[in-house]
Order: sequence, then C-alpha cells, then structure tokens
Amino acid sequence: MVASLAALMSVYSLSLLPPRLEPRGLQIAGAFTRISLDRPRPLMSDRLATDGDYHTLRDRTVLLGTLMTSQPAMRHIARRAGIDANRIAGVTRITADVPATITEPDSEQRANDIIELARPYRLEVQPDPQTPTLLITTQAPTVAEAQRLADAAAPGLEDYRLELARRRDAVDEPALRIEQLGRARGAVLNAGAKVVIAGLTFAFVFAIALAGLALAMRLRTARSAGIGEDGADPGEPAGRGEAPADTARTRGGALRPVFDPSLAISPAMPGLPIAVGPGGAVASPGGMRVAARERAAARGEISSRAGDWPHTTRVLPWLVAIMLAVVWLVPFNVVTLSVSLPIDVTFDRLVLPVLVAVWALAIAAGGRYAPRLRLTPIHLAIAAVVAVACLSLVVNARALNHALELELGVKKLTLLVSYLSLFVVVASVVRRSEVAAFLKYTLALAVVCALGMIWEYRFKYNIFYAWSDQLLPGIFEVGSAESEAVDDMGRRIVRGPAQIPLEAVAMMAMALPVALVGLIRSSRAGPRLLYALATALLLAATVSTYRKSAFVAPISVVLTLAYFRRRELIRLAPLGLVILVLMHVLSPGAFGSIVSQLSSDRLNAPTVSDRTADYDAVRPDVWAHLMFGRGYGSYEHTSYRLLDQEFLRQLIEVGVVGVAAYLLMIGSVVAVARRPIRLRRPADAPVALVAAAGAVAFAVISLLFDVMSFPHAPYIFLSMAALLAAAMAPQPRNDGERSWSS
Amino acid sequence: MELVAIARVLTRRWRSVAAGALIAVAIAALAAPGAQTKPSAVAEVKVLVDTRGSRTVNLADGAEAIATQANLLAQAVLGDEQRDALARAVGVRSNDLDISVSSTIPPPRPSTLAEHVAKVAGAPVRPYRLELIVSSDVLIVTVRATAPTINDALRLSDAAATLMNVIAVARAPSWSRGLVVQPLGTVTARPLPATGNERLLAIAVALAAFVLWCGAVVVLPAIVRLVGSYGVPAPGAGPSTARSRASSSPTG
Repeated sequence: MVASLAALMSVYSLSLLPPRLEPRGLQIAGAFTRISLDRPRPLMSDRLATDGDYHTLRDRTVLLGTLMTSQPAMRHIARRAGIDANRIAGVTRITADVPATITEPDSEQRANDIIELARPYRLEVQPDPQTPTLLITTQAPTVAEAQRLADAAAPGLEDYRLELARRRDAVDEPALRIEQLGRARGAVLNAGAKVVIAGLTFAFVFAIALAGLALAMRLRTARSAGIGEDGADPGEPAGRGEAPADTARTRGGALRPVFDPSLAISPAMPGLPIAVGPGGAVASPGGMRVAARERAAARGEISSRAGDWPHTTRVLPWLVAIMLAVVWLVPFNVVTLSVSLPIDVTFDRLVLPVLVAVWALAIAAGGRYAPRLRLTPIHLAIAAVVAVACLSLVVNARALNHALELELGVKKLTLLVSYLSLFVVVASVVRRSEVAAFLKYTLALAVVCALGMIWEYRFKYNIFYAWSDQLLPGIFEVGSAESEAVDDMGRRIVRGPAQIPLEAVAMMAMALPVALVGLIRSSRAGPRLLYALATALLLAATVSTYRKSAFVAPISVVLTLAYFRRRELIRLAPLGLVILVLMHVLSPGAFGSIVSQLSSDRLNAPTVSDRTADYDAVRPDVWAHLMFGRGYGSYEHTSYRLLDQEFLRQLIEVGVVGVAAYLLMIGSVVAVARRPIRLRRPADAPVALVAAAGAVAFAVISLLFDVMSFPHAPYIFLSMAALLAAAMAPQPRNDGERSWSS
Repeated sequence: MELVAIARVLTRRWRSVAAGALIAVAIAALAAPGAQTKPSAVAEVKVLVDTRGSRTVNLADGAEAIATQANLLAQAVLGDEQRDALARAVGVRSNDLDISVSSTIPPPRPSTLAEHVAKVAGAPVRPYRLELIVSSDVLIVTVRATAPTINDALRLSDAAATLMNVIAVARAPSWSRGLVVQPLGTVTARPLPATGNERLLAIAVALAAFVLWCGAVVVLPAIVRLVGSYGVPAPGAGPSTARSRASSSPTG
C-alpha cells in the first residue's frame, strides 16, 4: 500500500484543498531541423567556389550559431515561437575538431548549465564541422511547442540579423542567406517515463518496506524466542524447528550465527573443526548437544566434501566457474550480439542471467544441494550501495527525466544490480570447503590472463580479442584491440581481455594477493616456486601496460599484506628480488618506462593534469546535489567530463551518502576479514587475506580511474568478496534443512 | 543435482507446465501473423556531382570545394518545396515521405538532447523513404529509396536524382559555372520480401514465455511459502514455529 501510494505520488500531484489528483507534467518532446547558410549569390552550385570560401562561410556559420543563443537573438526566436524568452535555455555546442578535454565544461560552464537546465524549453544549436549548416534541436513539454520553437529559429535569426543591420545602417548591404531545410520534425522523447518513475519508486519503497518488515518480524520472533526458551527442557532432543547447529541464542533470545574463534581440532576427527568449551571440555548439557551436532555436521562435511567443486555434479558451482572464466579471459564488454534489441547485449549479459536463473530456481526447488542464502555484513553493505543508488534516482527522477538522463540511470542501475547479483550467487553457491579450490582456480585464470598480456606486450597480438572473434559464432561482434596503438603520451596500449589498460591493471592487482598469500603459506619448495612464478607473471603483466597505476595498485596490495603478515613477508624479501628480476625478463623495458614517467619533469602529463582539473570542474555538480547526488549512472562522460576517479563519479552521482555506502562496501570486506586474519585460522585466514588485500587494491584503483564503468574489476572484486562471505558463513547442516523451499 | 530438484518440482506440477506450453503455443500463433511485415522494395542509384566540363576528365576545371557542394546539394533536398516535388513525382502525400541525409563523415559528439531527438523524431516511420548518403572524399551521392512497390521505389530514386540536378542548375550563378548531377548507370531495384526471421522471432518469444512460465511455476509457490513462514506464531507456540513451517514442508 505504501509503495503504491508513493508510486502514485511520483507521477501525480495530490492537493487536499480542493481534493484533486493531477498528473505531473513529465512529458518531454523534442524537434529538429537544419538551417543552411550561403552567400547572396549561392556558392552551392558554383564551380569557382574554393575551400577558402567555404572555410569563411563555416566560420560565419559558427559565429551566427553562437549569436543565435545570445539573449537578443533568443528574444526574437521566442517572440516568433510565442514563448516567454526567460523560459528558454539556449546552448550552442562546440564542434570544432579539437581534443575532447578542451571542450569539456569547466566549473563556470557547468554552473550555468545547471541553472539553464531548470527551464522547460531548450534550444540547442550545433554547427556542422563540414558544411555551413546548423543543426537545430529543441525541447519542450509538447511536440507542437518543440516544433514551433525549432521552426522559429531561422526566422528569429533573420530578425536578429536585420535588427543588427538596422542599428549599423547596413540594411542594403549583402547578407548571408538563411534557409531552413524543411519543417521541424518532432516527437515525444520520453514515452514510458511515467511508468519508469512510478515503477522505480514502487520498487524502492516496496524493498525498503519489506526490509523493514522483515527486520521487525525478526525482532518479534527473537523476543518470542526468549520467552519460549525459558520454558523449554534443555535436555529435550532437537526438533525440526530448533535453531541450526551453527547458531546460538543471544541474551535476548535472538538467533545469531556462531563465528566461534575457539574451534579446535577434534581428537576423533583430526583435521575437522568442532566446537569445544572455553576450557577445552564440553561441560553443559547444551554444550554436549552442540558438540554432538558439530560432530554430526563434521561427518556431513566429510560426505559433502566428496561432492565439492570441482569433484561435483552440482551445476551451479560449474556455472560460477564458467562465469569466472568469462570474466578473466573474455573481453565480454566488447563482445555484443549483432541483433537489434532494445538493450546492448554484451557477452556477460548472456552468461550471468543463466547463472542467476538456475540459482533462483534451485533455491525455490529446494533440496540438500540447493544454494544457501546467508546474510553477512558484506551483504548488508552491498544492499546499502544498491539502495542509495536507487534512492538517488528516485529523488532526482523528475530532474533526470527533464534532462533525458533517467533512462541512462536506470540502465546503469540494472548493471549495478547485475554486478551485485554475482556476489549474492557466488556467496550462496560456493561452500566453505570449496573456497580454497575457487581461489586456486581464480589464480590459474589470472595467470593465463597475465600470460596473454605479456604475449600482447611482446608480440603486439591480443589473443583474447582475436580468439574471441574466431571462436564465437558469427552472431557475435567482437571489438578490435589495436595492440600496436599508442596513446597521446606515446605509451603502448596493452589491455588483455579488458577494455582499457587501467582495467587490466586492476584485474592483475586484485589477483596478486592470491599468489602472494599462497607464497606466504606454502612451506614446500614446489608450491612455493609455482606461487613465486605466478607472482612474477602477474607483476610482469601489470607493468606491461605502461601505466603508472601498475606501480601504485600492487604496492597497495603488498602494504596490506605487510600490515597483517609483516614477518612472513620480510622472510620472502630475497624471493621478492628474484621475482623483480623475473618480471623484468618477462616484460623487458616496461618497468623502466614507468619509472621514467614518475620523474618530476613528466608528472605534469595530461593524465595527471586532467585528473586535477576535474576537482574544480565538478564543484557545481557536487554542491547542487550534495547528499544524494544527481542520480546514479546519470553523469555520462560523453556529455560532460571524463572523470578519472570513481570516488568523484560516485560523489557527483550518489552524493556524500553514496560515497559513504561505496566505502562501506569496500570497508565491510576488510572488516569481516580482519578477525580470521588475526586468528590465523587455516580454513578462512587465506581467503580473508586475499579479500582484504583485494578490497584495498580496489579502493586504491577507485582513486585512479572510474573503475565501476569497466565491468571486469567490479566482477572480480565482488567474486572475491563473495568467496570471503562463503568462507565466513555458518557450517551447513547435514539434514538438508533450508531456510525456505517450495 | 540442482537441476534434478527443479525437474522434480516441474514434474510434480505438470498440469501448470502443460498450461504454460499451451499459452506459449498460443503466443506463437498470435505473434507469427502479426510479425510479418509488408513486403517493400528498395531502389538505389549513385549520382556524380561534377562540373559542366567534367572535372573528372579535365584537371584544370577547378571546383576544389565540390565535395562540400555535393553534401549541400544533398541537404537541399530536405527542403519543404523539394519534398512536395518529390511526393508529387511519386504520386503520394508529402507526409508519407521521409527524407534523410547521412554522411560517411563521423558526426560531431552529439548532446543528449540531439541524440534522443535524432533517434525518436528522426526515425524513418513513413512508407516512402529517401536516404541520401554523402561522402567527404568521393563526389558521389548514393540515392536510396524504399517504397511499398518496386515501381514506386524506382520513381522515387529517379525523381530524387533529377531534383538534385534541378537544384544545381537553379542555384548556379551561370550556366557555364554551374554544377551538374548525373546518374552513374541505371537504377537498381530489388524487392525486400518478408524474411523468415519474424517466424523465428515468434518462436523465440513463445519459448521465452514458456521458460518464464516454468520459472514462475517453481519460484512463486516458494515465495508464497516464504511469506507464509513469516506469519504470526500461534499463542503458546515455540519461537520457531513459523520458520519451521517452511523448513518442514517437503522440499520442492
């Protein structure tokens, strides 16, 4: 009811006196036309016309186009269109052939744009860079008004020219011919916006209300549980409805999972953890029961381990493995279906829905092999990110609709949900006993990726793009890698399966902890050698991108590991030197090139100055929507600025609250990982170390580029966080009991 | 193993699955005839923008800005008078004719508004379409006409080529200094029959509907039970009665 009411209020305005329900003016219409300029004696069909003539004519067209959106000219256009001039925003776009960074709006321009955006009518003029023509685009609440405004542009400009001529007493002088090329064509631009706004509002309010209700029910159940327990016989055998073995009751009687650090090795079952009391003995009857249940669970674990991935017939872990292989080895973001569909279907959007659908069906169908949903602090933090993103869109829905950016925001929100669904699926599908296998698998994929990148660096051949093109059926279109290309600073573009080199750096940096933790933990020479080789390959691949970030990201990983395991890392120092030499051998010249980029005389490179220029330029956007931002996913870099920092993008799009949620998401991984790391439990300390270092690397990378815009890195970060969540989850019961089933 | 559990649920609820299959078949049957589009035809002719003395055979004939002029001549066809003239030539109403000029030159970075307007308002929706494709390097304009019949398409492309020449002559400062627009070869036309893709699409839609239906058959009862499991416990009942209802029910 609440959600329906909120949805209704989002598209209708309700007044009490008199009682009335009126639809909000959400419709946006647009129209376009072209204006051609020529000399009084036309050049269009004159064989003696020269390029110089047209160059001059184009310059004049740009001048007139710019004047057209000035206040005096806009008055004439508004009068012709029959619209109040103060309600029309006029913009002339720069189309000169200059680098995009020059045309990016600065803070003054953005401040002006934000004010102009509030006006209901808009006239945009875009000079054609090739011909002396102007593209006129208009926006208005109705199609008729939009067409009228567009059709008024040419006569309004002519009126303005005449006024100028009269003022300068030059009416009889030859003037440019202003000719409109056809009546304006218009249409409604946001058909379905009402449904989107109402649907988004409903979904958000419903989800929040549902979460609130679930919390209330949980508290209520917990309170009732406290009363029930008082009257229960402690020696009574456990029934179907009792709490699982791995939960305990809080002082208030609430059920809570036990993350007991005092898990010890059972004499009866060496190698398997069971719960023992603080004194090492199981003293109380309740404790006896817990111990017995733990032993039963342990027996169950023995039997279940036989079915652990990769030695399992369960489909879901295999689907997860396929998805991880796609993430690590396929340039999925440039692999698209060559079929005309309303959405861009990239390769991951074909694989992930299958995984999610099978997962949802398996949960609903139930059975002992069904995934188990377990709530961890990481889940809550990730839910907060989605909730804030959704809230930012709901709060700004009308403004975004007016700026025609709502659709984009909703698309990006869907993308965010798809990232996060991988987390939820992996965290519930992967068993605690499978985490180690999945970590090794991740490392193997990362090493293959690193080998491919080194190959690309040395032989200028991107195997990921080339093989994807060859192996995938013709219905897929694969982008090109251009491995021989260099950027503005003359650096080679080595990107592996990623879209840009920085994304590849992020991938390697997040895989590095797996190799380093393996190196720290392995005591035998063979595995240690293999992990050292993997580390060298990952580092060599990272530096092969020629990016300064290739130093920063791995250093953050090493520092994080040093914080938790400094003695072990110091012991590895001699091996580190060997790895550095090996890295140099694998990617010769790359290391030195990055070092030279860090010299003081080269630190004012465009990559640095562009980043620093962003801080000032985005101030108006930040201050205009400080708390919840302008709406998730709505700051399109092609329309505004290319932001080279994820935190900055988050600040603009989801505000201070969104940045806090984003930090919470990363911080929750470190926070959850801290305890097992400190306790050095062999079962979960390695994955905790990997996830914590990966999370810190992800945070550092978020300072270096807009990491969430490139899907490889978020997928990898969230899959590692999910493995940590799986490792931290309570032990599953052996009786196949589940939280819900069909 | 999970698939076995899903299959068991579907087997147990075979009546619902069968109903879904019938609905999917109905969807396919309904979608297939509607998906068939009217057959149309496309005619194409390339025209060369040249000087009277032919710049292609006489290097001294100047006209260094002719590429820009070819582009402008194509754009001149967008005018209202020109549209009316073309419509008259084909014998259709002016409102039934779409004219667009596209270029092989990469367009400048469009604004959000311009992009939306071009996509929605600029989309060809009328039965008669004329597309003029210009290039920055070659002085050849491709005239492509789409119409319900081959004859209409031929007439439209022919009329467009003639109209471009008329504009060139009319806008020339003098006969000798003017440009000419001449067709390169004859107009080629071919029918665009309705392909089998529509039928495939109908089958795909039906299949998707059936899969979604089966998904709903498995998921919805589970959601109902989950919601039911959060019901208020009966007075005097144990703390986890509500929860146990969900877990004690037979899986699937």
